[in-house]
Amino acid sequence: MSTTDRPFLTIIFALSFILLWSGCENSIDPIADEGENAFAVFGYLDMRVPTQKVRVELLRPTILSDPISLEGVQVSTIDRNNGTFQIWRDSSVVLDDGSAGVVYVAQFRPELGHTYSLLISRNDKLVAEAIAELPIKPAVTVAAAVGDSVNVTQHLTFLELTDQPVALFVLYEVIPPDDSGVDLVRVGYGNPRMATVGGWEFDIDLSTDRFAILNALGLNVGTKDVKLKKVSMEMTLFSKEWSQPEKGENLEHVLGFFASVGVFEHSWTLNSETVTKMGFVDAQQGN
Amino acid sequence: MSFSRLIILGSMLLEIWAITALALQSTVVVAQNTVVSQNAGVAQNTGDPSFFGRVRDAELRTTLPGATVMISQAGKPIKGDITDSNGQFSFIDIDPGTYVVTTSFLGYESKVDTLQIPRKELLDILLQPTRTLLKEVLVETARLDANRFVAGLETVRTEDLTRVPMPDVSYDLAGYLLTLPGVVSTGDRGGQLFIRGGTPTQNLVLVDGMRIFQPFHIVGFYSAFPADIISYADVYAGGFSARYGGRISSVIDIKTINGSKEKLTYSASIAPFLSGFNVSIPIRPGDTSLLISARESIIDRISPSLLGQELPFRFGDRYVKLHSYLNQTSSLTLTALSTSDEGNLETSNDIDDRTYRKSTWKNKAFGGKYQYIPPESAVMTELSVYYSSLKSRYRPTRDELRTADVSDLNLNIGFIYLLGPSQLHFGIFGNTNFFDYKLGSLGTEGESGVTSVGSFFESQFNIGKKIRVEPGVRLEIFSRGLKNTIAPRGRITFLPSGTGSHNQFSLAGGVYHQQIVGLNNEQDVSDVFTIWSASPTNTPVPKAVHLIGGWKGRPRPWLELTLEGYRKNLSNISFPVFGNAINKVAEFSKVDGFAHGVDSKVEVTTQNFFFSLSVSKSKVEYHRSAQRATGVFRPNFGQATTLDENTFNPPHDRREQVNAMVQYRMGASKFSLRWQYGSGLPFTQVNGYYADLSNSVDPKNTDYVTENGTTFVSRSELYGARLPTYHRLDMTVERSFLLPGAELTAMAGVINVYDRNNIFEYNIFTGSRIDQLPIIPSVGIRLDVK
Repeated sequence: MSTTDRPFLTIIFALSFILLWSGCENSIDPIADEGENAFAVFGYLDMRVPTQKVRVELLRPTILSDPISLEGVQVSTIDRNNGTFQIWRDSSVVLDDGSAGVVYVAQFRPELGHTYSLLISRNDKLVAEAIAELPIKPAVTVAAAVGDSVNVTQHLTFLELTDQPVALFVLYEVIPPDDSGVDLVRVGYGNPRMATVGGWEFDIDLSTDRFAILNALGLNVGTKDVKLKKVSMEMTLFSKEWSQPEKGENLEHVLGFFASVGVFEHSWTLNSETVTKMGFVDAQQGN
Repeated sequence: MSFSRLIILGSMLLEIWAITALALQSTVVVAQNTVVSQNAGVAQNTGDPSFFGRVRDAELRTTLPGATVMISQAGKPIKGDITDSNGQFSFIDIDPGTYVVTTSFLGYESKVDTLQIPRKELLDILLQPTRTLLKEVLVETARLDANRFVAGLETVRTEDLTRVPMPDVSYDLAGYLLTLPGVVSTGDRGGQLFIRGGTPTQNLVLVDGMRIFQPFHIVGFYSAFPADIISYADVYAGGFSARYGGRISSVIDIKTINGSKEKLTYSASIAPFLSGFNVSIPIRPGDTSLLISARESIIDRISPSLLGQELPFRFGDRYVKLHSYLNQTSSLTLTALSTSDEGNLETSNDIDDRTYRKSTWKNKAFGGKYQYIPPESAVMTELSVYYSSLKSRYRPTRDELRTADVSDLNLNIGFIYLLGPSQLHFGIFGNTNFFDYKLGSLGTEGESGVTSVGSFFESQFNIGKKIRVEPGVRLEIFSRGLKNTIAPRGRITFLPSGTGSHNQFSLAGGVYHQQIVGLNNEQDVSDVFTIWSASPTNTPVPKAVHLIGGWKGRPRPWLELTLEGYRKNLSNISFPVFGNAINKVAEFSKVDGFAHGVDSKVEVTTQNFFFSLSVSKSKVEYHRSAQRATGVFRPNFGQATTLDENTFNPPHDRREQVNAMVQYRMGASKFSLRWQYGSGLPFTQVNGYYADLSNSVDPKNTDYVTENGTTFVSRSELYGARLPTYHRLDMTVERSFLLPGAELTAMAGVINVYDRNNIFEYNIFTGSRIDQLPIIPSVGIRLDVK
């Protein structure tokens, strides 16, 4: 090697060692920091039942990983409207494939218009939150019934209703001619499809409902002495999360789906003339 | 239109342009002469021009503008000049002494004179017209100027390849490319190159004009063709000229040698990674030669005993080239290349690995080129037709096979007008691609095709002696997406001190379009299985705008410095979108972005010592506006995902890169060492996996809590984390032995000397990691018979 070459070699080896030193880190961290306390929650608050339940899972680091124990995990709700706090109880369930899952349950019936926070804590530290807003109770206007005896209808409008109503029923309490007691007849109207400004509206077909009532009571269409005691409607309301389940805007540090189902009931009084047009005897209180 | 009429039309167009260019050049030369006169005035203070003269046709006695006059002393070039429009040249400030003057011009025999300087008499040089015009033209058009500097261009010669330590005695272009600043590789496995922010599917690789879709073997430091057949390769990291199309990032244009037309030569080499032979046969001595090359790996068969571990890679390539001078004015070249690769790039515990999770691909390419130069004309005509195809197979599970085939048919007719130092190039082309893919359980399959036609024009000419300009434009009509494109391109080189300047400055830029897109699962850079397809309908085709500026300096004869800055603006790039579902065909979004950076290189070359150090700093960033994802394979299939606006760094965004090479020769021995460093590449972390019950949760289904659901993945910030840095040291020792009529070379080396566990792939689904090649000792021998 010539003497002119030596400085070059020195430079090269010096550079190599500097760069070698700087590049020794060789580990990979495939799990994001936020993944360590990431949960998946699937469930909804349901006014129709007295027991609420959600399935909770701690995210697994790989597809092949076994489910991670939820020891130290607490699930609770707080009613933001009245401050009611409730701790949910965990219970193991057997999934369809025989593996184990964890479901948290609580005994309460949520209320319309209330907002509930589902809180997930781990080792006494809040790590995730999901919010469910029960649909609000709409204002209802009932127009006067119109039409003759074969086509009596009544127009209902639900104002300030932002969630789409589903599973709408009109409920009739009737007393058969033999005065055997009060029968409740539910006539389904499916999904009201007429959106209006600030709400929803639909028509009740009272004349047609009469045939459904008589049929339910096992009476023929010519029966005259059936008494109408009460008329009301029941409507199931889905919170907005149901329309776009993939969005998860109500979930914070948690994956999955959390929503609510509300039930709204409203009763009103038909005037006697309308009841007569329907072919019933008016037995409503107050008339 | 008949072919002969086409030639006449092309010639006419070029003649018109030539006249225009000559007029421009003459104007500039006049201006330059004014400057020279002024300089001469200055020079007269210190003395007259050292010598001057003119160059003429020896038969017609007409002057020859554009002839090259070089003076040298003791074999060392001193200065050069180009004759002006009157065929005249002059040299000033030449030290007194004896010099050799070499004069050359296209279509003439070169002439060598010896003279004493200073000389006061005019030197009248007469050049004889050559009888082998075509050969001269071919040499001229392929001329390699060792000193030329063009921003974005690196011309790789065979001697460059020999400096890279490889695990065998055959050198390889891929190994050398990895030493270039701005070139990012996936590493030893997979054979994917990212050049200055461009993805592998945005690189155009040509072997004698044939497009090669997968130009690298499955072991990443081997090209799909041996170094033995390479004459030189122009590697355009950007700013390439108008003759190149169909890709938006870079061009690797490889020219192969012709076989010997004088005598039979052959060579053979044996090494664990790759063994091969190369034979050159003069079919018709003096006129026609046949070159045959074949290589095959054996590493998969010997790695268990040699290394104690499986290296499940098998690859090889075969190349044939027939070249013939049909007569004094025409030549024909027929070329064919086929490659095959197979191996397991993924981790698997399956005992039957040979049929499980295997990637394979096969390139096939063939075609021919006919070159013709009419007598008494300087317009060379080229007609070329090439076909190439790639068949890729990927087996994600034992029972599933995914296939993706693409083929390319390319027709080019080109006219090259040689005008002294100027060159005009006009061409028309047509290109058709066919795609055929079947994605197994993903349920997607299809066939389609796209076509493009167009023309290009480019020229090269000097403005005075300091500026060389290379403007061009490419006009192209696509059958998909954006219908018509006009893509201006150009380069300019500035030599502050004229020919022989120690400093050179260059700018290059242009607009580029790409009608077909290569789509792969870009969850990280190690994904190899690529599905070629047409760019999405009703959207503009992918587009890039390049701007590159550079400087090359040679402050000492042994020291060369290069510095380049670049910016590529990208638009309409198809980029995959991954939702939470696993094993779902990715949707695609349209992203815009940029790549920019600075590449620097230092080279020290002495008689026995070579050292190069290249350092790159770069950034690639994509921006996705709020949009709905589209399915490239099946538009509007299913519910498209709504995407929020996002800015991210794609998986090939390597920010820092260093390559150092040393070679020391001692007699017949050679010691080579290479060290590579690359900062970590981006990847997307996961938050974890969970059972998704979205399809089960229903107000009417109260039993949903016991359903298994579908396994979903929750991903963290898109490409928000980085893989570990990559670095590796390779070294080899070679010694040559001269035998009667042959040369024997023996090699011993070590790849990954300090056994660095460089990551190749981390499988986010299974949590398994696969590293690049471990420390590998290697020996090889090679015999060259000439």
